[in-house]
Amino acid sequence: MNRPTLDRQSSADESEPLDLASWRQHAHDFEREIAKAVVGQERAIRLLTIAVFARGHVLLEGDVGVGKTTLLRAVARALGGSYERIEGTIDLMPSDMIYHTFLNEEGKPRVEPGPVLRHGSDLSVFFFNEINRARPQVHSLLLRLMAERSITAFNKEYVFPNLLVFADRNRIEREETFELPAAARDRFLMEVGISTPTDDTARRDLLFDTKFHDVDSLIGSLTDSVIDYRRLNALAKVIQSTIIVSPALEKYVLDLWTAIREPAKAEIPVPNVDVTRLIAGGASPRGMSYLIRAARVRAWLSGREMVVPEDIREIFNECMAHRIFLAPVYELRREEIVRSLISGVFAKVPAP
Amino acid sequence: MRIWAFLAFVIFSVHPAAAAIDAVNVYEPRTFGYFIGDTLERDVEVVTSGSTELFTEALPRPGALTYWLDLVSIEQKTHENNGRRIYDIKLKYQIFYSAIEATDVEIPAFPLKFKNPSSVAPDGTAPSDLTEASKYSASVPALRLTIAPLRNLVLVDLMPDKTKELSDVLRPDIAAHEIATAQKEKTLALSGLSLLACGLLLLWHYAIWPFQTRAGRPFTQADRQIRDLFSYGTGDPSYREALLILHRAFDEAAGHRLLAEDASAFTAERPRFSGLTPRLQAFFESSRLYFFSDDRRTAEERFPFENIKKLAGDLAREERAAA
Repeated sequence: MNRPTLDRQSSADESEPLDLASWRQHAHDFEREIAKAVVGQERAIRLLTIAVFARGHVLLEGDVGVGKTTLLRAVARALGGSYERIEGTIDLMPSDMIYHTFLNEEGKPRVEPGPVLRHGSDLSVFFFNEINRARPQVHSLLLRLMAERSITAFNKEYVFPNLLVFADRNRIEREETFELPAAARDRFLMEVGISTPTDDTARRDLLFDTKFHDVDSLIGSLTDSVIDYRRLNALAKVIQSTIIVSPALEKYVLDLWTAIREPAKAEIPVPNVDVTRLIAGGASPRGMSYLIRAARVRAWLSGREMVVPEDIREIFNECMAHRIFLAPVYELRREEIVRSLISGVFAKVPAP
Repeated sequence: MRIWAFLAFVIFSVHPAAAAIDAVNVYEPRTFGYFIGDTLERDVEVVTSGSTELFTEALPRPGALTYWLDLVSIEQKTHENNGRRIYDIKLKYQIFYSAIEATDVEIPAFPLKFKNPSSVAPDGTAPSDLTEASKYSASVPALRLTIAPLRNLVLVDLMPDKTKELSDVLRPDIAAHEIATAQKEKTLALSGLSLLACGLLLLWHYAIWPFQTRAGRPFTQADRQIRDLFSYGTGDPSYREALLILHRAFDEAAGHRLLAEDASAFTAERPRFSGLTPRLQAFFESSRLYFFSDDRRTAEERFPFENIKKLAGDLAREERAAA
């Protein structure tokens, strides 16, 4: 599904100073717009908004049919800019993302840019559906795209300054899937779990309100480009340089980091687990710096000028859980163990 | 010694018979010297050959035979020897005859019944006389017994002049031997002690008196520490210390680290503190300002040291009242 690039007068916009208060208002409008299409997922919407303003890539995970794709399409719609979507399949090769070859009407061979290159630097959202069905070769191309926001093709470097990668995967099937390499997972700012809404009104609406039955018209009904995606990079810089992280909070985050990496030393109890052998690695410095990035955005969205421990606590699971690597023996119970480890760490580390 | 009598109805066939009652041998016990309650056994051996078989179902059943005689049991075994079938029957009687003087009684005879007793003589003619007929039938004969009365012995008869005490005549009673209880007493004491230890362990496990520890009073301790601190001065380091002391008290009271956003849940769970909610929120708000923004002055102005001290005092008072 491709949409033409929006014709904006970008030069005029970009010269305007960035007012954080009015942008906060825009951000809340952005959230409200998405909430029209996706009900009962307020937390996921807030997390995606944080990711958008922190310029981080997001991996959505959840059951089949809980609205992962709808949520991402709604975000792409409200964000504006060019949008590309690709389905992960076992026979997808990296070249399929860059170009495709065909015979034209005159019978001559043609090479056309593929989904990644088609919109040039205007690409704002690249949506990779069912990412775990694609091969590791594709994952490595994606790694470069996410890390550097650029790829090399046709002897030329293509740069996508406004690009955000959204990916999703379902947790039901394991056959014919390839687990994402740790390096690729570490590139995602957040891994957000999407579950079926528990709120009764939301459930009733989803089932009986006819507007939720046709996803295309539902997405089409949303206001296009609630925020100007081309100014987000600059805005993110301003947010990161404006919101205060105090020495007390720095110490708090460092303590959290130590406790996560060495739960035995911090005496974190995890039921039925030998914590001395639990952690195999992870909780990378990059991950922790992403966490602070996201925490600053959350503080800004909450109308604060300082990051407080609650900001860290609220996003810690989504930002850090996928970066913690457990000993193989505990890997099958990963979700439960990591959740209790994280809540144990927050119950133990003093703040301030 | 058992007397055994040979009472035979031995049938010597003129021709080797196809089937016959070859012998009935009765081995009798002694026939004298019985008292009331005595038992006696009679062994009967029946030998048959050919198709002749003893009809064992027709043997007498255990039970009262006469008013003075019971058949206690009857055992019957069969084995074969040289083509002959041998039946061993063991009869056990008990006598209930209360004799006043020595007297004869008779255990009655009973007939034996056979299948294919070859009641027809080998030559095909019917038995001509009774003696001949007895060759083809048999019975266990009666037994005469002499039964003696029980004699009554009276001490007067033995010792008419009563020159001795009864205890001198009779053997002394066997002295009761002492049962050794030392080992059992030791075991009992040990069991009691281990029961007591188990009980104490159980009390400790469930933290019941005397192992019940008094609930901690974090706010009371915090109040004391903050009052001590107050006497040293209300400068910036003291203010910071006081905030931290109260934070740790909140953490201990809540059982986990309590952040500003959890304050309302904390008071909702503990209604006794609900009156202090606005001041709690003010405390958390200025603590945030103090620690997480660079605006310490505003924090101290909004919620000065005196307020912390007062809040800690009130929290401690409510805590003590709740206990």
